[in-house]
Amino acid sequence: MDETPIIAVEFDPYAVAAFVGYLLLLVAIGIYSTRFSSKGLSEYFIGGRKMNRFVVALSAVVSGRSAWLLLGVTGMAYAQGPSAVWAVVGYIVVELFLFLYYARRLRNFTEKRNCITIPDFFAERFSDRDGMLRITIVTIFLVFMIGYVSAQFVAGGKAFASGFGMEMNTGILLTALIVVAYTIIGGFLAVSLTDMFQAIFMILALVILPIIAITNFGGLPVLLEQLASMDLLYVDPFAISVGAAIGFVGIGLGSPGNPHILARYMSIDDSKQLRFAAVIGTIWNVLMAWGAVFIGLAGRAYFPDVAMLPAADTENLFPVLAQHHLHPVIFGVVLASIFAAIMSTADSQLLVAASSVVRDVYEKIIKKGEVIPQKKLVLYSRFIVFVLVVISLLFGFLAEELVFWLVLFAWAGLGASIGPTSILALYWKGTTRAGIFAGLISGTAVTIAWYYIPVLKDSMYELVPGFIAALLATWLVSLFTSPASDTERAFEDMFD
Amino acid sequence: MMISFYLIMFVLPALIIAAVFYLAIKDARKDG
Repeated sequence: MDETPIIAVEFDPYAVAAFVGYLLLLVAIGIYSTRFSSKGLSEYFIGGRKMNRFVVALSAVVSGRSAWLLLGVTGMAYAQGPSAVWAVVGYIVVELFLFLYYARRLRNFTEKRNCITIPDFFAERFSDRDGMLRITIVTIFLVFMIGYVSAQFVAGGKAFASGFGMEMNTGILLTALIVVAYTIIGGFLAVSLTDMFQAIFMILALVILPIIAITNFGGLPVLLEQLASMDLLYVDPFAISVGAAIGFVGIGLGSPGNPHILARYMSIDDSKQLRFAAVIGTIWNVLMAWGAVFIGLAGRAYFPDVAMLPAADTENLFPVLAQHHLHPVIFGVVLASIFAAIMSTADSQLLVAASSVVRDVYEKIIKKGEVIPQKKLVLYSRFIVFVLVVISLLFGFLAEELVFWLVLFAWAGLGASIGPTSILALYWKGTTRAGIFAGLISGTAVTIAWYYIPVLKDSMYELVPGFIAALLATWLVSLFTSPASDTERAFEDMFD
Repeated sequence: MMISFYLIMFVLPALIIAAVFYLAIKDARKDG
């Protein structure tokens, strides 16, 4: 083991130059978007529903993919071979259907009822006069989103530490500063436009790297022969238990419940264009995901022993393989793509959390019935984004354990609570407000309980039972309670 | 073993992309 050569990621001036260029691009987009985003709350939080189909497609896809795809899935494919592909199939198929069907109803309804946020949507759909439904959803959002943003900052800190030899805490602070710089001033437009560029960086890295690495190895047949000689696991996509496969595919159930993805659907300029966004988004999702799996497979052939990777961590495979096969400038793009994945998720989550505070709590509950100037609301929103960044940073620095706990459940908790309830709200007229409460609570509770019971945890990813429990609870309670009186009209508002 | 590898790593992604094209075109026709 001691003789295993350890490969390190080295500091390179070309890579730094490419990376700095990328950061300047983000800030320039922030400045460019400032005027548009300052017009009002709708412009600041959902781009005034004026985003074009290409921007929406890419932004929706990369907001949902954090560094998990670049570092986690590549590492997973390195560790367990092509069966890692099941972890990406689920969300790709689910998002395909979301783009084509779910998103269109959500976009139409939210435009006709002037809803800016997901709590807004639920409040309108279920005539939430006392605001309890709105408050419940905002609470779920804030708890998970702050943990989520915090985790993205920590991931950025780690990436700075391993890519540029920087102190971890300095890296966390720098990540937060970059995100806050363009998010505060540029709002949703800046976040969506930067997402678009970040999507391009990510796909370049995830498609070019495996092609070059596999070609340098002598081609795919040679690579597969090498992998098969090591262990048949590395060429068998079915070397996975049924429970694990269902859990992997079930990751996709998180997509309809994560509000930073749903806000993208609401922002498109014409709901009919969502089918074009579906095609672009799916192609992007497929290329990025399969690229990540191929990187893991190539990595296993190049570095047969995990001890050859820095800190013996499979999550370091992606930057290491990139540095060994790409020109330094392209390597800079690869490093940028890691930050792109982190930032494109953090910025979207920050805006969603801020929109819950300003739109749902301040405008719709505290100042209910009052007319507040739009520019004032935008100013408050910018301040809240800043406050949320500070809270997320404090969590990241001081309460790492809590952040870890929140993030563990963020994707699954949101997916299991908001996902099934929003699907039923859009597709079943019998859904009631009480049913939604039951679904929100049972989805979150089952997700957390499942995780803490070892026998259950080992059998399947907690999102799957959580999602099913919320679906059943919403349905059952709705059967015994009455739907909102304007349900028929609500469904009419979901169509063009 | 290798056949399943090629099916999952090449045919499956192609099928997903073909499916989204099919459904999007079907949806567009429905809208006229």
